[in-house]
Amino acid sequence: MNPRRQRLVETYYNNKIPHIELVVDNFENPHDISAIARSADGLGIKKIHLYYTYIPCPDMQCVGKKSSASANKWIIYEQIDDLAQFYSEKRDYNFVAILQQKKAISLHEYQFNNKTILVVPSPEKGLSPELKCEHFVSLPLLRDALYSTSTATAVTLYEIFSQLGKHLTPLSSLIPRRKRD
Amino acid sequence: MIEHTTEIFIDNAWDPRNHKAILNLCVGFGIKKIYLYHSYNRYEREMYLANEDLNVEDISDLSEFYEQKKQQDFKFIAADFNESAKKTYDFRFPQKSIVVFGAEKLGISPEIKNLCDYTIYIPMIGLVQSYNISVSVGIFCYEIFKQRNL
Repeated sequence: MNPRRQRLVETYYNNKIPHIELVVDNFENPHDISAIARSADGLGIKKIHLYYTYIPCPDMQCVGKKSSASANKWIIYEQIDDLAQFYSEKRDYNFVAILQQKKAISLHEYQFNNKTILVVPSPEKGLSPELKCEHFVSLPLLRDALYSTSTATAVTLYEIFSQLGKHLTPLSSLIPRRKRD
Repeated sequence: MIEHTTEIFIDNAWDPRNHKAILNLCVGFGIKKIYLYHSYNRYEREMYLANEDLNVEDISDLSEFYEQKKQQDFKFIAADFNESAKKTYDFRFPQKSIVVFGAEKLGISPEIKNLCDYTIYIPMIGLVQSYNISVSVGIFCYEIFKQRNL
């Protein structure tokens, strides 16, 4: 690895919105996760937790290189083996799910906490009942429309970024590329 | 209340799944008009016809279209990056705006880039330097929605 790239990678991991993490719930198609990873990488998310109960957990290092535009190389994936333990570890976090339902708050009216875990329900089966969430947010759509989980997650992460991450600067401006001779 | 209009301009995007996602987002965010400009790519036209709420128009003569829109006081906004580009949340979207999105791999064609009044980008702090086109349509629509409803 050349020195510039090493600095780039180190700066990359420090240049994140801290304490914002994602949980994806039983995604049958791993490429849906990598589509989320691509936007999450751009909007300052470090870690994605994989919660799988009834289907085997995909190995994210092996799939989705193309569908994530190689972002899955940089995102840290962790599988949740024990949900109760996960909840006790993340006890001071605020669990927010992206879900359209009666109690859901419109995204632009919701103030995100410094420590938030964003739960993305399965595109096939919806949110698992054992994943308990304090709040629900939904896209401010004027009328019913279908949208993909990756778009909904990206828009939510954009809102989080505009609330908590405006001070972060793009990497390319922190470490400028040396001019070629 | 001031009347706002937003329209979407798609430049040579070919993937039908992206088109489908854009269509759904436009319906959701209440955008009434999509312009399609395909100079080198082919695309699926049938699915747009099935939707009644959305007005879709093909552009064959670019300069004529540009003149027409300029007379109606529309501003062209490129979703792209250059040295003088502004971030989405630092920019006040004009009353009448057409947001231009480029193709999946090649971005906005040069002949359209020249026509645009502003260049706006979505901030990225990752190592991957692009968003998916449907994601960026979603983020722009959301930002415009937010500015006009607060």
